[in-house]
Amino acid sequence: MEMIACSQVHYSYSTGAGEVVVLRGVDMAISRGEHVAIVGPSGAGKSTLLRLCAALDLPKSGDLQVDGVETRTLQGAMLARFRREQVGLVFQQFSLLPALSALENVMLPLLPYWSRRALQKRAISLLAEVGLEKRVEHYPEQLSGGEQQRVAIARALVASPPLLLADEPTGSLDSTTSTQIMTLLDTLCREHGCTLVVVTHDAKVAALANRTIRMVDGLEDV
Amino acid sequence: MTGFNSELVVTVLGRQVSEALEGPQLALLLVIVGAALLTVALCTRLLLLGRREELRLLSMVGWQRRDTLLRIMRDGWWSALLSGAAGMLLALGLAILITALPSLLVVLALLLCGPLIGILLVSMATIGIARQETGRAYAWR
Repeated sequence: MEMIACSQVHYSYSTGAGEVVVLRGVDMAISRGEHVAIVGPSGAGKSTLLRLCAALDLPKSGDLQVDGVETRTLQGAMLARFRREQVGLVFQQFSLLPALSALENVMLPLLPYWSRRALQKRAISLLAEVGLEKRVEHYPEQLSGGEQQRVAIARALVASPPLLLADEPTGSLDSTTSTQIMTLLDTLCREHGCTLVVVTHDAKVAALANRTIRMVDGLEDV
Repeated sequence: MTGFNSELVVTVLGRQVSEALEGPQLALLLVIVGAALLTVALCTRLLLLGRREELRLLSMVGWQRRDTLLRIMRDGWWSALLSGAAGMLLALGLAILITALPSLLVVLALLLCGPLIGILLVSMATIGIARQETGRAYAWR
């Protein structure tokens, strides 16, 4: 079964200067358990496609199904549940809350929905998996870039989502740390049975994937 | 004037003074409460402007909007609780100095109501702004 199925997905947004068309009818399918890299020049629509898959934005037209769910139909509590349980997100800028410790940042997505004790246990185990068992009480400013990204990866996995989406996860890291982070992401996704979709400019990062999708001008380059 | 007449004159005068002051006192109280609410609302707006990234992140990681609202409101509740209690203690102290010690029941009722009224007023001042800011973070684009 397909984890992501896009059919003629269009996306555009309005600015003062007029309509900006980002996606011009993307057709794409990603199978369960695959590790896919989406590459292409800036402005090709890679990150937008990722945001649509995460149900952060709504396609203007076309069908987009994630794990059999049509994202267009999601609203309110269902939408929040989808984002929480179906998708894990890793960003270039880590997006950790500076006032929270590494442990609290990992717990954040499920904080209002799980018992604190169970959640803490889960978060500590994930932090150990990413090699940060001794950094649990550290705050983001006390962690290096690579360590912050590890915390972000643990946070993305806290709800055991079947799909992990990473937008330039190594964009703010040096090349050695990038390799470590990508190897970690790949390993964790295999272990947790996640489908991994990575948007990247980095050829080394793309080379780790099972398949590469190239995007140009809002379309998949075939 | 005899002692009795003196007492009567003072009592009547006191009542007249009290009645004359009742309106302005109420107006002053409303002005103070209004100013406090506006101050809390302004502070909340400024605080939430600095927390836009956090609200956006909470929306992206799957927090329901009502849980995000609750998180914002709860941040103000502790200070509201303490302010309400402190205000009520000050008022009680002043009342004891000027008049007499109220009954224990009244004291307890005031101590309980003060913090609760504080929370209610702060909630009133923040809910609109919190809804506006979370609406921005939770909007489909």
